[in-house]
Amino acid sequence: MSETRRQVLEMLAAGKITAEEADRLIAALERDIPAAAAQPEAGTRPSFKAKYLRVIVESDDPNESHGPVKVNTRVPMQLLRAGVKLAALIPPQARNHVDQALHDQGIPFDMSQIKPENLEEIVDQLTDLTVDVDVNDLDHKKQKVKVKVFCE
Amino acid sequence: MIPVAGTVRIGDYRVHGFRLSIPFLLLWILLLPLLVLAVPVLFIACLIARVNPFKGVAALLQMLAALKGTRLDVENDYFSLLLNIF
Repeated sequence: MSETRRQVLEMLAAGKITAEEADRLIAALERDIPAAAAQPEAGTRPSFKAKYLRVIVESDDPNESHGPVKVNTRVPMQLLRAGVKLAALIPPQARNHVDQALHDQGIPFDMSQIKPENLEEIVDQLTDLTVDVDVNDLDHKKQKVKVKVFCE
Repeated sequence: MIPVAGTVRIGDYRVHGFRLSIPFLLLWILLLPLLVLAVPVLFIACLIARVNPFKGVAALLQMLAALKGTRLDVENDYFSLLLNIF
């Protein structure tokens, strides 16, 4: 039994309020409790909106003469949005050149498919992105490259 | 809002490299007269490339503003580079 409900019953027992008033107070308490209980539940699932795309690369290839390489980048999501908007302004003939160059590199990509109206959907999908790549040198049992891509 | 400052660090500045803080705000103020002169050229270039000049300039400004928060950090035993835009 909750503390407030106990207080209402004590007031009723002491004759400070009538049975009808106690009934109304308890009914009001019951209305408030589910609303209060629902609030923390909604708070446990905040809508996560990523602000940055992070790419971290750590390579300790023993064959490289310059020692271990560390790359740590943080790209604002807003920059990706602006980039897609800018890409939409590229003239069709230039876009065809880009598509052809990408195709020659083995990347079958059609830039015309990137449309500003699909932008939020693309960025939302990136929010859930987490890529972990560990490349191990199986012969020497030595870790060589570690790539981590995630949003924060 | 466009970036107001940045930091570039090349090499280990405590040994032989250097660290440079760039007040972008002053840079924008200095570049403003040049930008005014460049507007007609940009407008003509956009028309030649069949791009809406207003949309183009808006997208470029948006991209400039979005640079805020960018960080690039690369290092190995002999070289290190840090670029931070605030």
